[in-house]
Amino acid sequence: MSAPSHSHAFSRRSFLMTVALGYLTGVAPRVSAQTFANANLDDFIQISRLITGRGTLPASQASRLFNAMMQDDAQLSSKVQALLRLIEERKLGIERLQQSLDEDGNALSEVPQKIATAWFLGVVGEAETARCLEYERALNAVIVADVLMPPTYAYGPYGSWARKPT
Amino acid sequence: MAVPRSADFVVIGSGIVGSLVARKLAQAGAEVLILEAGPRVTRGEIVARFRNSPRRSDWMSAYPPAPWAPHPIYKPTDNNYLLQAGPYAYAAEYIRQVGGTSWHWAAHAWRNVPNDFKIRTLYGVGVDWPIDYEDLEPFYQEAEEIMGVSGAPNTGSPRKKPFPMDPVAEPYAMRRIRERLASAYTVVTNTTARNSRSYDGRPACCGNNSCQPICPIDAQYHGGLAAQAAEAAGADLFPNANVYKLEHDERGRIAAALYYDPDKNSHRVTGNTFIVAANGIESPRLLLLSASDTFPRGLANSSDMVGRNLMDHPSTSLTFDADEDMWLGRGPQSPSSINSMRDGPFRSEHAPYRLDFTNISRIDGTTRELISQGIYGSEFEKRLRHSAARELNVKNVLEVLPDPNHRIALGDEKDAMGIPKPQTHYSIDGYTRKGHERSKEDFRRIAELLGGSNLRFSREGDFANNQHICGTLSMGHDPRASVCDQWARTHDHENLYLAGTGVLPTCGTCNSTENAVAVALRTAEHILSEYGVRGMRPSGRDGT
Amino acid sequence: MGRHRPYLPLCFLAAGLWLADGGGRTLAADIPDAGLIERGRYLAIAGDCVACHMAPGGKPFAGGGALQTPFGTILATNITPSKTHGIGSYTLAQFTDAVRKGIRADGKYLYPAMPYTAYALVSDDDIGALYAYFMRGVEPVDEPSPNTSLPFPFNIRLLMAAWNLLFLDDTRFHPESDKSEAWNRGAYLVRGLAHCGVCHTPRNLLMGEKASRALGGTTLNTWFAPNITSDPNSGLGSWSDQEVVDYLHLGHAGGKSQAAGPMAEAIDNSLRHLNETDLNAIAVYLKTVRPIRNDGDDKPPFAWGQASDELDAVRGAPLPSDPNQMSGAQIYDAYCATCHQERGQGSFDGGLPPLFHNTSLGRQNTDNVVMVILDGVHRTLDRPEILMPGFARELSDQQIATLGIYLIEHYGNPNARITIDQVSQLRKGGVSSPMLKLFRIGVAAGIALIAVAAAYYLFRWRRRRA
Repeated sequence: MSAPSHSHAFSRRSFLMTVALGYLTGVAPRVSAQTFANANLDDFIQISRLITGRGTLPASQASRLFNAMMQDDAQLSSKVQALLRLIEERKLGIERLQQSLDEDGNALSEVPQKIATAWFLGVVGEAETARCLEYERALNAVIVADVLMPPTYAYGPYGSWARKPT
Repeated sequence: MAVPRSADFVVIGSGIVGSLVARKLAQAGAEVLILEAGPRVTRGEIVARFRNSPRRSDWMSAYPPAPWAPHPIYKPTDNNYLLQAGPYAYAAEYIRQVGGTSWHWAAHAWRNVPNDFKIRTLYGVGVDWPIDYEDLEPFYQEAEEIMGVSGAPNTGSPRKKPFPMDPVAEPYAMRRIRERLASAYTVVTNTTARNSRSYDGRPACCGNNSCQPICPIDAQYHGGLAAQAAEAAGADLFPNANVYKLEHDERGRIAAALYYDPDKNSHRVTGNTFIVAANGIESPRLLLLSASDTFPRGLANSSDMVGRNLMDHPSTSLTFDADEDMWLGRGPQSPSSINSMRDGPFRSEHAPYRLDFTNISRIDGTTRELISQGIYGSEFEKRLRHSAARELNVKNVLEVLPDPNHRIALGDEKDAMGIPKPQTHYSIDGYTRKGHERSKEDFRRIAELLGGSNLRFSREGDFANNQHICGTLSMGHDPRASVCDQWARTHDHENLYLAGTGVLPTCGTCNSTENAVAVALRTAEHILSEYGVRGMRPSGRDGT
Repeated sequence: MGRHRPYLPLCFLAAGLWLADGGGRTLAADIPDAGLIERGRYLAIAGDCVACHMAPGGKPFAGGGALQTPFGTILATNITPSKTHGIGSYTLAQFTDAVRKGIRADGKYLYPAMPYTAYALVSDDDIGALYAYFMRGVEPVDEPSPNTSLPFPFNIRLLMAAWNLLFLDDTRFHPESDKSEAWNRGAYLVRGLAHCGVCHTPRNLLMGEKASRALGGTTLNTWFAPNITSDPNSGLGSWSDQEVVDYLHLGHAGGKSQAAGPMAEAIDNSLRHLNETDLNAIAVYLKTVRPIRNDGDDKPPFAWGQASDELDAVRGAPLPSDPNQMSGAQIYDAYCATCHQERGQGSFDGGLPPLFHNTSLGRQNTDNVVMVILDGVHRTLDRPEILMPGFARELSDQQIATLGIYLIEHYGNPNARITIDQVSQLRKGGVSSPMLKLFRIGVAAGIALIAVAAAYYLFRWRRRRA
């Protein structure tokens, strides 16, 4: 899980090829925003899997978070692609990612933190523009859902917290 | 409700103390009007705001201030409402809405220990109260029965009658802490206004672990319930009425309260008796704002003590990892503590303190911490679970001595309503710092007994504010050294009373609400027995 | 909670009750009667006499319990053995007539709010035990109970004689020889002392039970007493016997169904104290009651719904400034999700129950959904005690309707309806019955008709004579 698969890079190249070919032959596929977004969403999911350490992520949640992050930063999509390329080039494991980015003062160094904040905390944006998109389904709640309820949710009937958690 | 004009009793502030005073007077048949600066709020919307908050560790994010009744906000940016003159910040949080700040508390409802009332006599520090434990005992009981308080017996505060219910069930983590510390410390269940069975139509605690900022099921008592009870007893509660001045007559009797509505129109309400219950910062602020030619230093301030002797219970803490799985976050947020250092001969040397074990979920805090460190992937998950299972925190609740230099004054800046902002002058003195030093020995010992690793002390010199705003309206026998008498009647104005944590002349080591409520209930009873349900009318108008 | 077997503690409870009562009433020379009195006490619990014959906070059997009827409020009497204000002077025959025929010792008729039509089935032996209990096992209370005074013409108790002719079948229970002992015991209890039909069978205009719709479900003005026939969709046919027993004994059958309102009271006062054999018998009998299928019930009420949420629409969305504009999902988030959790799945072990696959939300009749939201559920005999708060104060009629629709769409029967009018009616205590007005109009019309007929014949007679 430390580098994007070759099949993903292949599909991106093949998509671009298809578009180029389409223009050359005058039969350009309709490059709708949806199609474009889907390709970018795939990249987002790819980087999200790395950052969250989870092989599968809920598609609707990914889409929601991606759209929200794109609203804050229209360049996010290309930044994500650049990040994926960089990870592949430097053969970075996730445990080294942030350090490596910070070491050379990389402009991409804030991207993993934003994606991590979106998935683990369910929050997109910063300071006055920060907004909550997830609470119960934020990964930090999911990770401990076998033992804890998110605060404000009842643990159980009175006294149920006295027993040892299994 | 029509715009109010007058009432026998005008209570300013609908927080837990103001509302319970209003309730007691109204139950006796008095005509009571409560003026509250802020709006009405429902519990459901506070719950929804918390869950939708992008800053869930900032508990004030569920309580945005109304523009016409600002209260201090520090995140994401400081709204600069509570001015800090220093040298040490007094960054208190409080809430101006119907029900006040205790919508958002951990429901600690301790009584003082008897010696707390006379630390000057016993230990040569601070001041003595004008009353003692025996005077307050029946009112502690009354407060506990209204609020639904339970706790461990024998925590230093003698009682004549039992608590209205059994102590709240102990979370597993607290049991383990208690068992493993037993050789050195007695860990007790906290005395809290939290239901261990259904009480007053409200359910028992269901372990929502969000006492601060909101109990979603009203299993803990709070000012919103007190305000409801006051209205049910017949008091009129008028929200969105920001009282900015009290007017007096030529004899120094308070004649009227002036308030702004949200459109900044001024209104005038007259009354027989005025009770200021607008928390320990807003109340002295109002008295200072009411300065006149006759009273250039403000109302009730011939002593120059209004706003002075500002106190709190500062906290320092130790966070560490235990050597077994505990899983904080199951059950109420603040279930257990150690009370052995609340009193003793050492009080002549250093501050006493309680030691609180937190049961607040680690999840939000640890998540932010890990992300800020660039920890992602499976390592994140591992560390989050480890922190959730093992991390513990113990904090002290330190006494602060009254010092007239620590005070609330009027600042040079004005708030959104054109009223001078409150300003704090504060520092942490040697007495309290020595208490903190002493408590670190306990921190270390506690960590040791729990096989603690990864010890993280709070930063040296940092003292967290606990919002227990005491001293600014101190009661006392001497009118030159205090603002009000033992009944919380101001020395200077016969029909002006004060209610709230501000009247407490020392803060002891326990959260201030129970003390403030008990003192206020005693005040209400005194008013009724001395003057009856119409209060003290001006002489000449009741036939005298 | 959960599926535990409480019968051992039940035995201790029964023993405890027996001991406690034995302590309160010294029996002296009546030691041989102690068993009879104890049996009478058990039967009085089965008959749930205390539900009516005790006022809230009052003394047991001293009367004062109120029953709202379309004809007015009927107040139950003091049936302690007080000689001055109770039934202390009743002979066994007088007691029997009161219980089975609805006739007091002074010859006056009782209103059929006293379910003597059901108690008519009670055997002589059991009547004898009940008599022994009420005469010697109950503390006499020498205080009067308030009198019932219904508006004209219902204050004429003699009218009950006519009503009894129509609706009282004064025969004892006859066991059916081709049925099991358990079935017969169940039938005896359900039709007799436990008088289930009194609530669960719909009534005609004269307030007699409709035999053809026995146990088919009916409204009790606010709460709805559901169909408990053996129909697998509309009734109990898809419940296991153990689930029925659990419901009657614990007040819930796992997450499937929870008792609230008047049924919760019936369970707390009466049914939970019945022994295992009797509860099993009731289950066995109910599962054979002639099935009645309500139109549109194509699956059982606990088969609806699934875990679901609308968090996408709620998280990050601001609340509207007008609380009546809150969406169902927002109201659910603010008030309900706290206990029932964000997907309606309930707490870890179901102690705070899940909402889907729950009979409360699966019925076509949605009155109980509204009633539970208004009044909550409160049962103090369990540990930990069960308390769902009511939201009558927190939520407006609009909000309750919006919330109700959200609940049944996500967790219940989406074909059912909830309206604002329904909520406001139920909040006020139900639709006021036109019964009294209709009856008076009917009587007036009848008198007018007789007067016209008399005038006509008088006219004709005079003309003939002229």
